[in-house]
Amino acid sequence: MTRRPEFDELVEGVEPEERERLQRVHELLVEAGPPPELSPALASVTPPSDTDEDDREASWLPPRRLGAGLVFAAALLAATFGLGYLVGGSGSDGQETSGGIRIARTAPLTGQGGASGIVNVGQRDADGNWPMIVTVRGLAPLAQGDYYIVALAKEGKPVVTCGTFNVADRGQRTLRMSAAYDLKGFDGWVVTRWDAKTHGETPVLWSRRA
Amino acid sequence: MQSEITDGELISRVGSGDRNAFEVLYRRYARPVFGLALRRLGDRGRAEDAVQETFASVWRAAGSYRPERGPGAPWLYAVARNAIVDNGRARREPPVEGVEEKAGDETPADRAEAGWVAWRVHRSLAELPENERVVIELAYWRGRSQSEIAELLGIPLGTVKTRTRTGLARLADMLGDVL
Repeated sequence: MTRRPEFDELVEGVEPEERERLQRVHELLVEAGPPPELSPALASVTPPSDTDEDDREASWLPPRRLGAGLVFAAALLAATFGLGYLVGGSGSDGQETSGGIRIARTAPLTGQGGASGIVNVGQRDADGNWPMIVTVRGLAPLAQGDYYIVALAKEGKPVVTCGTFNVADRGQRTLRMSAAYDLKGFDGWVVTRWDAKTHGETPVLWSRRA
Repeated sequence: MQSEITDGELISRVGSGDRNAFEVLYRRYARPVFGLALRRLGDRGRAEDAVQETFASVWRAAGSYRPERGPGAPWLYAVARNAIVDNGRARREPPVEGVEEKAGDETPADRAEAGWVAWRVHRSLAELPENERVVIELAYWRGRSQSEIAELLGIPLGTVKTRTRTGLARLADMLGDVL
């Protein structure tokens, strides 16, 4: 999938004894490989309600494979999308708000087949996270097991994942996500389609501003 | 703050009906459980079922956890393994060993060991400070060179190297028993 990192490059100048210890960690990381991304339904959990206290039933568990239409509040869709396009493309001065966040920057997403979207990024919070509201429209529903990935990109290529989602139809969806990375290291966002069978990512929406 | 609470403490709190503790535990372990299940079952849908069954079992059985018998991670790992095995049996199909499995001479014990080690690696990586975790993930799982990482993150190459070495050393400390 990706090239294996050169251990020598990683540990230049390390003492031999420590080097041996780090080499073993290096091998474990290579052997373990990356943990798979959680599907949208698994990525969130709702703690049990009071009514679950006695029987300890698992009815509070996240609904599985229900599609993004059930994951995020539909009430925010129209307002967020409309606002997004009002400020899209020009950047925001931080005065606009959307979905409860004060927008620090905005990036429109374009794609093929009439698909489009927008990323509204809020002010970085005290923990160092950038709240994001991502709105998409016109994306195709995917086969079971596949999903869309929102990633920060460099030169059009996805680098780090901000979140995943699905859609039940080509309608508009608004998704709340968060980026913990320094946005200065990236130059845009990309939405890719993850194919569970081939383990391949295909870009479907992209921007040129981060 | 969350990282100050041990897995065992969280499980004990879940056993007392603490929903917040359950949520923290879920966020810590959903991905490692999913990774383990996907590796063993080879199917995302079945793996998702196994994740839900694992945490349903955790919610029901956390009261039986005894901290004096050992830390929380192995207990949760055992619950997850049982859920995965049960899921495989319930479908009346032998569990499929995922694409990562080596064919032929690998025994069930080998696979169990590999699953446990991968579980530990993923959990330990999640415990790293963000700036160390990011450089290691980019190097190992995005195939980026140290120079590329420096450029991507907008930090000096020396900082990338330092963070990588520090992160690897921290992982070595956390994974001492499996090194």
